[in-house]
Amino acid sequence: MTATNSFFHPAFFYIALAMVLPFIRGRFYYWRWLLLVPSVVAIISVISMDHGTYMVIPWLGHDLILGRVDRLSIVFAHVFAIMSLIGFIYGFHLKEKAHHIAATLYVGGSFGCVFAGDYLTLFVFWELMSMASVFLVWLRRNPVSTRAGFRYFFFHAVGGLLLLAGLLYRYYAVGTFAFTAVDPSNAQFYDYLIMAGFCVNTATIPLHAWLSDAYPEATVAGAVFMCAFTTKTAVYVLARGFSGFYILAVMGTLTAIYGVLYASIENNARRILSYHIISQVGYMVAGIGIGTLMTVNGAVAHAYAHILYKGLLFMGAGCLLYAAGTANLDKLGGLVGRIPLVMIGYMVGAVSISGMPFFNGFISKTMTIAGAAHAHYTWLAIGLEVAAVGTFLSVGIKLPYFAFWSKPIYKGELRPIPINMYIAMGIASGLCILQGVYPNVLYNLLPYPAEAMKYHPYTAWHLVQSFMLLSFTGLGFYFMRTVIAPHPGRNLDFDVLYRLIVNTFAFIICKPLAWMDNIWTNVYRIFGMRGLLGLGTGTKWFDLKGIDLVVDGTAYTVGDIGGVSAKAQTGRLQDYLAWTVIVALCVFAIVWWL
Amino acid sequence: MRNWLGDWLEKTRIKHAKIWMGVFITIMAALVIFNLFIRPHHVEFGYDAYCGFWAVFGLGVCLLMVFVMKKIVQPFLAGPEDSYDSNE
Repeated sequence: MTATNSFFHPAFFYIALAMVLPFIRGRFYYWRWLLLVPSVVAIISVISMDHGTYMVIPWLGHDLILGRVDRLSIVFAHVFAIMSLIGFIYGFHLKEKAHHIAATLYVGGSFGCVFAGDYLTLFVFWELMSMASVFLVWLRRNPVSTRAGFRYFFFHAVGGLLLLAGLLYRYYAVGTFAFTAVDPSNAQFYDYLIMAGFCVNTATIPLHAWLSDAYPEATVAGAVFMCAFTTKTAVYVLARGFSGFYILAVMGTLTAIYGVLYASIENNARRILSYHIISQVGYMVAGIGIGTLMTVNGAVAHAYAHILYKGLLFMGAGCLLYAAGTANLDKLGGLVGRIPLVMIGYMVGAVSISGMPFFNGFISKTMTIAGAAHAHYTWLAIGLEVAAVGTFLSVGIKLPYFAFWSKPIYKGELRPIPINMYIAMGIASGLCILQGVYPNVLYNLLPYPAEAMKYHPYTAWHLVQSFMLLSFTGLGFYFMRTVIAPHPGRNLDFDVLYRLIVNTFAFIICKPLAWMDNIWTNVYRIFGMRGLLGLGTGTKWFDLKGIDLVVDGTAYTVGDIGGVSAKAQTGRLQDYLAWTVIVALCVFAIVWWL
Repeated sequence: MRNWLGDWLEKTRIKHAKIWMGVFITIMAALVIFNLFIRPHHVEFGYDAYCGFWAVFGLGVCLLMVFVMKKIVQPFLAGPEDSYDSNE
C-alpha cells in the first residue's frame, strides 16, 4: 500500500506506558502527566494515518495483521483516542498506579481490536480488554465490587470462549483467520458462535446482565472508561463482520426497549445509566442488523456520539458518587444549588442521549431511526421511538429530577470535586454541542460519507417532531412523578437465569459422577478382599485422582460462580484463565500442525 | 461564579416554578400548532400523518411505561439491595 511509515499503532503507546509506570518514582506524583501522553499521541496518530494494511507479522504460518486501517477502523479509533484523553483527565487526581495501569491496558486493548485484521489478533486484544477492565471494578475495593467483578469476569470468559470456539471452527472449515464480513445468506454455525461472542460484549439481550451488574460497582473513573470501550469495540466488530443479519436488527430493537424499561424502575444513578448503555447499544446493533448504508452510518455515528455523551453522563453520576458517597436516588435530592456545574454537564449529556436538537444524539439517533423506516422496517422504527421516549424519561428527567431538583434535600457533607473532573466534563460537553450544531464534523468521518451527507437532520419537520416527542414525554413525567419515585432495592434481571442454567448444568454433571463414585466406593468395600487388593489399589488411585478430583473441582467451580467466597475464587478463576490460554494455544498448535 | 449560579438555580427551583410551568405549556401548545403547517416528509407508519401524533405518542408511551413498570412489573422483580450477593 502507501508508505508504511504513516501508521503508528496507538495501542503501542498505551501498553508501553503500562509497562513503564510501575518503575517510575517521583515526588508530587508528577508521573501522572505521562498519562495524557499516549492519548495525545493517539489522537495525532489517528488523524495522520493513511488507509492500508500495516504491521503484518508472520506467526506459525499465519499472517497476524495488527494494522488494518480503513474508514470504519479510523472513525472508532478517532473517538477512542478523544475519549481516552477525557477519561485520563477525569481520573487525573487518582494517585493509585494500579488503576491507571488497568485503564491504559484496557484502552490499548480496544485500539488493538479496532485495528486487528485477523481473528487471532482480535482475540488476544479482546481478552486483554476483559482482563484489564475487571481491575477497574475490583479497585473500588469493597466486597460488593469484588463479587460483581468476578461475575463480570466469568461472563466475559464465557464470551471469549464462544469467540474462540467460533474462530477455531471457522479456521477448520475455511482455512483462514482473516476477519472479513460474513454474508448473512450463507452464515454457518461457527459464524453464529463468533457473533454470540461479540453479542456478549454488546450486552444484547439475553446476554446483557453483566453490564448493569458490574458498571455501577466500578470505580468512579473506571466506569467512565468502561462505558466507552467494551461495548463500542464490540459494535465495531459487529459492524465489520455481521452487517445485515436480521436477527441482530430484531434483538437490537428489543434490547433498546428492554434497557429503558429497566432503567425506569432503577434507583441507583449509575445503574440507570448502565441500562441505558444496554439500550443505546441496542440502537447500534439494530442499525447494523438492518444493514443499509444509512443504518450502518447511523449505528457508527451513534457509537461515536454515544461514547461522548455517555462518558459525560457517567462523569456526572460519578461526581454525585464522589461528592455525596452514594449514587442512590432515594438518598439524594435538591443538589442543584450546591453542585450546579455538575448538573449542567450532566444535563448536556442527558439531552444529547435523548436526541434533543442541537446536541449530538439528535444527529445520530434520528439517522438510525429514519434509516430503519426508509428500509421499511416499520415495527423496528416504532420500537426505537418507544426506546427514545423511555430514554428521555429516565436519563433526561427522572435521574436529574430526583438528584438535583426534588425534595427532600440532601443535607449531608459534599466532598469538593477536583477541578480535573470539571475540565473533563467541560471538554465532553463542548464536543457534544459542537457535533450537534455542526453535524458534518461527525458525518465526514462515517464509513459512507456520501450517503451521510444526503441526510439532513435540521429540517423544520424533524425539529417539530423531536421537540414534540420530548416535551410531551416531559408532561407524562409530570403526571407520573409520584408513581416513578425511586425505591431502594435491586431489581432481578437475567442474572437469575444464568445462575439457574449454571446450577442445572452442574447438577447434571455432578449427580451421575457422585452416583458412580458411590458405586465405586461400595464395590470397593464389599469386594475389598485380599485377592482384590491389587485391583483395589488401582481403583482407589483412580477414585482419588480421577473421580474425586473431577467431582470436587466441579463442585468448587460451581460454588465460585455462585459467589460463595471471593477468596476461593481468586486463585481458581485465574488458574482457569491461565489454563484457557494454554489449552487455546495447544489447540491452535495442533490445528496448525494438522 | 459557581455560588452565583447555584443560588440562581436554587431560587428558580423554589420561586419560579410556576413561571417555568407556563413557559413549558406554551411551548407544547405552540409545537402542536406548528404541526398543523409543518408536515412530515414521509408518512412512515400511517398514523403519523395526523397532527399531534408524536405528542400523543410521547405522552402515551411515557404514561404506559411508568404505570406498567412501576405498578405491575416491579413488585415481581424487586429484591433487597444485596440480592445478587446472596448464596441462594
